[in-house]
Amino acid sequence: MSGSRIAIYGVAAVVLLALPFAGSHYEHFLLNTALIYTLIALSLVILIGYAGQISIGHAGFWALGAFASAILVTKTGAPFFAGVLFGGVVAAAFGALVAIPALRVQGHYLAIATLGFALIVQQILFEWESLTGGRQGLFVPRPELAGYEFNNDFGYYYVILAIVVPFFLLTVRLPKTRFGRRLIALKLSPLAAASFGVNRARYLTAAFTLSAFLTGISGALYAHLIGHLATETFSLVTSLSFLTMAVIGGILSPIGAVLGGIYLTIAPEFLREFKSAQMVLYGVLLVVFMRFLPHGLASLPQRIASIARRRTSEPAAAPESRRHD
Amino acid sequence: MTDIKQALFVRNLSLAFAGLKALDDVSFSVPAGSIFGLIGPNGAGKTTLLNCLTRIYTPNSGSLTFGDVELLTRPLHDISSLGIARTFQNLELFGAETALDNVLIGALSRTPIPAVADMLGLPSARRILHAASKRALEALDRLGIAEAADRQVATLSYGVQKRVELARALVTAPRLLLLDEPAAGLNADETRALANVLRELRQAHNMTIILVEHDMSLVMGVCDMLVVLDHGEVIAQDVPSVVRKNPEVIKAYLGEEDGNAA
Repeated sequence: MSGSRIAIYGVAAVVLLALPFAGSHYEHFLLNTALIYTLIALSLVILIGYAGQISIGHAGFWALGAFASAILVTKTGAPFFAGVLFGGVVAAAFGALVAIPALRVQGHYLAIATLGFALIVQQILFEWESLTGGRQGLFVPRPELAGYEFNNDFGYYYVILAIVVPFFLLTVRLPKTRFGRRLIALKLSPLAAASFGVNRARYLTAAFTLSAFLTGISGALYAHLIGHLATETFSLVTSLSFLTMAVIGGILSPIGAVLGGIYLTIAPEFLREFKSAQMVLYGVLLVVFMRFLPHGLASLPQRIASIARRRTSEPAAAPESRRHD
Repeated sequence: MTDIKQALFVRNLSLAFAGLKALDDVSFSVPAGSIFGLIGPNGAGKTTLLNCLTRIYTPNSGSLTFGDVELLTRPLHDISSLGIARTFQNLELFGAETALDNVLIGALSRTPIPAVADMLGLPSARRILHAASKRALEALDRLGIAEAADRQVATLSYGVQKRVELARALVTAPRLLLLDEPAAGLNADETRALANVLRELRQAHNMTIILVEHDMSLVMGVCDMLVVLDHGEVIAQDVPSVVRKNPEVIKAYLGEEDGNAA
C-alpha cells in the first residue's frame, strides 16, 4: 500500500472513530442510520454498478433481513450476532431465487420482476401475523454483545461500523479480484465474457446473492436500531429511495455508496413536509442526476474539473473517462 | 489427408434462420497445426459457422468434433477451457476498460483462483493475478501494442482494437484459434506483421488456426488449406493454389467481387 493511501485510510479511521463524540443522542441515531443505508448502497454498487443488473426490490431483502433477525432473536433467544448473520443468510437465499428471472429477462422486465418480489415479501410478512406481528408489528430487543446490552446508539455505532467497514473494503476490492473483473466483463460484453469462460448464470446468481446478503445484514442492523418493525416500512417507496440513494451517491463507486447513505439519512429531514409527494421528488431527483451527474455525487470533483477545463481551454475538452460504464 | 491428424471435424452442419439456410449440410475437417482459411462472399455463412463452433449458435443438425470432444454438448462458457479462443468480426471488447484489463480477462479465463483467497487478496491470489497481468502485457507486446496497455480500449484506433482482441485470444494459449476478419482495418504493413504472427503461432506453438478473411493476399499467403462457402454450402475445399483456379469459386466469389483475388 502506498504512503498516501495509508494516510487516507488513517484519517478516515480517526474521523469514523471520533465522530460520535461530537454529537447528541439523536445524531448518533442518524450516524447509525447512515451506516445502515451505506451498506444497502454498497450492495447496489455490486449489483447495479459492477454486475449491471437492476433491482427495485431491495426493500424486500431489507425486510427479510430485518424480520429474520428479529424473529430469531425474539422467538429463540439467539444472540444478536446470530440474528444479524441469519438475517443476511435468509436474504441471500432469496437473492439467489431472484437471480432466476435475471437470467431470463433484462432491463425493464427485470426491474418489474424485482419490484414484484418486494411487494410479495411485504404482503406475506404483513399477512403472517403469528410470526411477524402483522399489523401490530414486532418489538426487537436492543443489540447485545457477550451479555452487554447497547442501550444507546453511541455504543451500537461501533458495532455497526465494525460490520460495515469490512463490506466497504470488500466492495472497494472487488473490481480488482478475478471474480469482480469477470463480473464487470460480463456487464460490458456478455458475449465476450462468456467466450472467455464466464458462466453467466453462476456469476449473476453470485452477484444477486452477495448483494442480498449485504442488504439483509443491513436490515438486521436496522431492526435492532429502530426497536420496532412494521411491514409498511418496507414499501415500494423504500425500494425506490434505495435506488435513488445509490444513483445520487454514484452507482459505480463505494465512496458514492457512503455519500448516498448520508444523503438518504439527511433527505427525509428536509422532505418531511412533502409527505406523499416524496415519491415524485425521488423520481425528479433520479432523473436530474441521471441527466446531469450520471455517476453521482462521487463524480462531482471530476465533473467540476472537466467543466473548468472546458471553460479555460475550449477545444481541448478531454472526454471524461469513467471505468466500467 | 488421412495420414495427417485432424484437429476438428465439421459434419453435416445445417442451420436455418426463419427458413433461410445459413448453413446447408456443411462438412470438412481441419488438419491439426494448420492455418485453415474459411472464405466466401458476404453472407456465405462463415461467421455463422464460427458462432456454431463457439456455441453462440446451436445448429439444427450435424456435429462438431474437436479432439475427442463433441462441442455441441458443451455450453458457450466451456469453450475457452477446451482450448478454443476467438476474435469477433464486429469487435466485442470491454470498451470502458484498459487494453491490458481486456487481455487480462483472457489471461484469467483458464486460471481459477479460490474464492476466499481472491476476495481477501491473499498472497497466493495476488501472485496468480500478477502472473496473469504479466502474460497479458507480453501478449500485447508480441503484437506491437504494448504502449496501448493503459489506454481505455474504446479510445484506441480500430486496427489497434483488433489486435487487442487477438491478444486477448492468444493469451489463453488456445489449441484452436478462430479469427474473424483479423485484417479488417489494418494497413498493408500491419497485415504483413499479422501474417508473420500467424505463421509463428503455427510453427512455434503448433496452433490450429481457422481464418475468416476477405483480404485475399493474406489468405493466399498464409493458409495451408481453404474451404469456400457460398450461400451456406461448401463449394470448394483444397489448397489455395487450386482453389484460386476453381471456376465455381471465381464465379461465386473472386470474379464477382472486384478482382482483389490476386
